[in-house]
Amino acid sequence: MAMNKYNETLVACEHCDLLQVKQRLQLGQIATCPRCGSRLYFNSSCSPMSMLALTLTALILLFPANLYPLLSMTMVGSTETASLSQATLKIFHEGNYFVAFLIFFCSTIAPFLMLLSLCCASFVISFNLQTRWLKQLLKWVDYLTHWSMLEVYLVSFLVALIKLVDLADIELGVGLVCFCLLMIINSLVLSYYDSNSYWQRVPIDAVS
Amino acid sequence: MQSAKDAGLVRCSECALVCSFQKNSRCPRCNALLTFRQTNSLQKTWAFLLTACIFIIPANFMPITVLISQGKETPDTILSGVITLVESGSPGIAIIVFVASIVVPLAKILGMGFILISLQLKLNMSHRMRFIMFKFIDWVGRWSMLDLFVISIMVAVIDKGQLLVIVPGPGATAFASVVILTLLAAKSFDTRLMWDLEKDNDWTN
Ligand SMILES: [Zn+2]
Ligand SMILES: [Zn+2]
Repeated sequence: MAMNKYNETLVACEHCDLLQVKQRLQLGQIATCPRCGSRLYFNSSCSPMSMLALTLTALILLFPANLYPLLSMTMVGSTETASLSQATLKIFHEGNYFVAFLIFFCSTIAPFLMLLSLCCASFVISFNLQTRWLKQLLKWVDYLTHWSMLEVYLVSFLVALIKLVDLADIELGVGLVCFCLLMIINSLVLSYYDSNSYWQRVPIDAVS
Repeated sequence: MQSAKDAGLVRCSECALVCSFQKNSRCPRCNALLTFRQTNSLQKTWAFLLTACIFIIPANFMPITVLISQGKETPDTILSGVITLVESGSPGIAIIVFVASIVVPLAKILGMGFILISLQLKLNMSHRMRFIMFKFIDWVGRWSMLDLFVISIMVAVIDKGQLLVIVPGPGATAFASVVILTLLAAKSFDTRLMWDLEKDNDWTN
């Protein structure tokens, strides 16, 4: 197969295709597109090793955030607890598989797989391992970030909470604390993840 | 200011490497197929958008939740849910739900439609303005998942067997479809086409 010539000193804007020469940036500096204003590339102050630590923490938090109750509610004498995974399972039981899957995907699977891929990619890069999986991992990170909706879930939880306050006595659970932490770390990960420098670690096949 | 396309260069859609363009060639770094623009971007966006247009009708008129209390079923559409919230004295939440589940999907469909039409009719309008509008539509779109998440939480906690149960209605399925379709519409829209208008580029690849 014919391979293309490439030029790593150039950068084209993702959103408007403006072609520019890459500049060296200082740590934490961001290069924006002069034509459309979107972010072109940046020099993240977070090394792959720190990213590994962040994503690992997030992955660990994901389990209690999903399994421990977000809230417990006392109504008509009995107490119900609800965790994130229970909430999804209930809809599965009602038989609405499509809605249940969408909720499950956006609130659990997508964040989990995205963090897992990024964690593995950071591991590979931090320890300079050679693997053909790196490209695939980085592609997954890119696809899954769009579908990871932790921040929307947290706001939804607050909305549900205010609806429920009038109906019953509510106690917030451990799961909620973990979920808030998870969301904070997840947004740190998203704002510090520098896809350009990760991709630069993928070896390029020799031009034939 | 020069676009990469005009210089015969193409940005890899997956890994952002700038390569020289050859027909049917792949990115030397990530092996993705190289194309100047997303293939059939406008057609795909229209297709998703029009399908969303159809689904938004049952999403708004069919019950999104059904409250079953002692055998009596009370269906609730999105709008009647909002009205109940206003009547029960939480207008703030009512506004959030109203915006997230009625205004956002509708505005998204209308806004994307407007952008597509203005692009295809080559209306004279600032590219930057149009781009900011698209960015906003794209960002705000994910928030329409809010109502579905709220329903899943309500369904989970309000379960008293015979006494009181909430189940998602057929409207929820339609609403979920609208959310997915509008997200896919925004994803398949190639914003670079806006700037291509300056030159008379063909949109085929
Ligand atoms: Zn740009
Ligand atoms: Zn590539």
